[in-house]
Amino acid sequence: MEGSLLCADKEITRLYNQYVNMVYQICFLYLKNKADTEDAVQTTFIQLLSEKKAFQSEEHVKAWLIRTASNYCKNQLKHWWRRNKDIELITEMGNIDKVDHTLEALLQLPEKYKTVIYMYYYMGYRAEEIAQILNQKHTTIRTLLSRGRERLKQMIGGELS
Amino acid sequence: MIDQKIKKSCDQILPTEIEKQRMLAHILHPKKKRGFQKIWIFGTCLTTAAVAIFFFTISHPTTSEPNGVSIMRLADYNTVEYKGECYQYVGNYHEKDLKRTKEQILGGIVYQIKSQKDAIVIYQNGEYQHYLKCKGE
Repeated sequence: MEGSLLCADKEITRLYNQYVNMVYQICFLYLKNKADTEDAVQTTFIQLLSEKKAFQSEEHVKAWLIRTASNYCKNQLKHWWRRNKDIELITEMGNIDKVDHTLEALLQLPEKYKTVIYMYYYMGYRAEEIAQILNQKHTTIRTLLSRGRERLKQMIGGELS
Repeated sequence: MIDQKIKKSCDQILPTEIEKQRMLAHILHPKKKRGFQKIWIFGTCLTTAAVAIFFFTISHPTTSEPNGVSIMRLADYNTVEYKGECYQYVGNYHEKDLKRTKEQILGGIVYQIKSQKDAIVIYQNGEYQHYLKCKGE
């Protein structure tokens, strides 16, 4: 696919409908509350609107969204105001009726494991593809996956093994 | 096993239709930023600094110690009047503080400092008073 895909509101709406759930899930894993997640999703798609770069394929747009959303969330978490704020995640889950043990453990994982675990287990990417999307070494991704899995096991109490 | 559990968990994190519509509306028609923007904070600080520097400058003109050697007598004893506004030299050599005076300086012996055309020294009641940045006759 040649040239920019992003030329009209129609196109943005199509991409939004296609990827909003994915971006929302990534942002929620980081920010742990609905209000901040909605802000992050909006900011990510607004950045996509103003992005001058031409995307080569749908997969390229998807990869860009994953990377932009997770970078935005990481930056938000570094913000001084947020670092001083204690966020209770469970009470703000809103429409999520029952928070299972695995989700709780996922949300409590350190930031660096979240995107990798989500992409590997939920989206079904291979480690090589994740490395390419996140612009990291293949071995780093393998390590993060392995350590993330270990942490999950510890938190869930061997349920995942 | 792991991926099934994680999939099931992540499937719980989904926005409702109303939330989706609301977010889309914000994306397509983003609101203008509210509150103070960085440019205003920067501009306000810059203006405040400029005003502070201006007032500091006019209240602290550069000056030098009155020097007996360089002063020149302009008029005869007891006959000269100086009318105008000056900054009065009130400190010692190291402090060099100046006090603005709006009083007219009348009488006394007026001397002008060679190197400073707008500075005068007036001998009155047995004392020398040093004035700077003078405007008058």
